[in-house]
Amino acid sequence: MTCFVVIGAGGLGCPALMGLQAGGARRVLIVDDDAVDLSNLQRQVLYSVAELGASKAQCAAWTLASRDREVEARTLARRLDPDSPTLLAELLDAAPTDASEELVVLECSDNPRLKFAVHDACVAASVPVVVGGVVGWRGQAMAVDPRRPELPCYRCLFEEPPPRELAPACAAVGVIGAAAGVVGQWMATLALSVASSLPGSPPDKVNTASGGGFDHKLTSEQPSLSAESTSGRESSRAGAGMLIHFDLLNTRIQRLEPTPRKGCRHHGELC
Amino acid sequence: MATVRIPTPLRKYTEGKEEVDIAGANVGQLLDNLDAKHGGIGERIRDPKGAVRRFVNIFVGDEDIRFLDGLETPVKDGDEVSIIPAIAGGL
Ligand SMILES: [Zn+2]
Repeated sequence: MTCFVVIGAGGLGCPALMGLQAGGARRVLIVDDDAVDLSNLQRQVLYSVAELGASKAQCAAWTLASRDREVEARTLARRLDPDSPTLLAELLDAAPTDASEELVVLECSDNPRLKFAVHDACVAASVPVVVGGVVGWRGQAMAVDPRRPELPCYRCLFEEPPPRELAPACAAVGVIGAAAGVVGQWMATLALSVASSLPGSPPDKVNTASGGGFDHKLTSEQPSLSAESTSGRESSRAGAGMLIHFDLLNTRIQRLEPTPRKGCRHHGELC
Repeated sequence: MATVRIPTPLRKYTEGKEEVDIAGANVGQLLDNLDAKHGGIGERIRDPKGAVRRFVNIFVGDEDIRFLDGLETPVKDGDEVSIIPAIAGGL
């Protein structure tokens, strides 16, 4: 059964968790050391006024559990250090242990260096990862599936994190709550799509209760993922290897779908 | 003239404008002219050697210039040039 690891339970993490749950995810690990704050509530939709000051990770887990008795939501209330060489091991320690477990990581934090560090750790360990970001009306999301080295990674597109002055925090420039909702939900669909292509997740069984590799409870009212992932699965990227850039103010969507880049630290030798 | 779409963090160089019209026969010239008109923006996009910075992608229309001719990629009147930096916020 796939365990979805959501790093950051804020503006992106909340809608991502809702999307994962709606898509049938049964195991999640929520990583966030922050507390619920009144100024976040409009976009951090898993929390209520009654939870001000409480742990976001814990409140998010409660909300998920209150909506679905079968979901197993674990929490890790820790601030991840982008410089830690054991970044992924810390997550693995906190994730539900199960030999057959496949992980898919969703990087939903607001820390550019952490985004790149989590991506790099996942690629090195061959764990699929979805990287997303949002600022103002704009957002980006990309699924990276290191088990398919013929597809590009995030570093193929962006060689390094932008410096501080070019990566304004949402706290400084603001974010449209609904834009965070779109990007977070998009990240969830990418993660579900990648999970449905994991070994042991036959796509033809994905829409039957508990048939998928992540106990994917898609019902007949939610056929699209299974229909998409079933058709041409062999040649499909399952959503991986392309970055979608949204400009929601102008309804512009751009798709960056490169080949792996020469000189990428993960792909250099393959090119 | 091409229309250059300016990403949020760089709009302080364009008086808050989201789009500016700039002349230039190719992307490199266009970026030179953009910097001449909006001092300081150029070094945010290119490094001191003139290469596009490593956290930025530039598109002409829907095409990534890395898969065209890079900074030599020709630009026509009415083309839309987008500067797309890595977006790393999430709060
Ligand atoms: Zn790469």
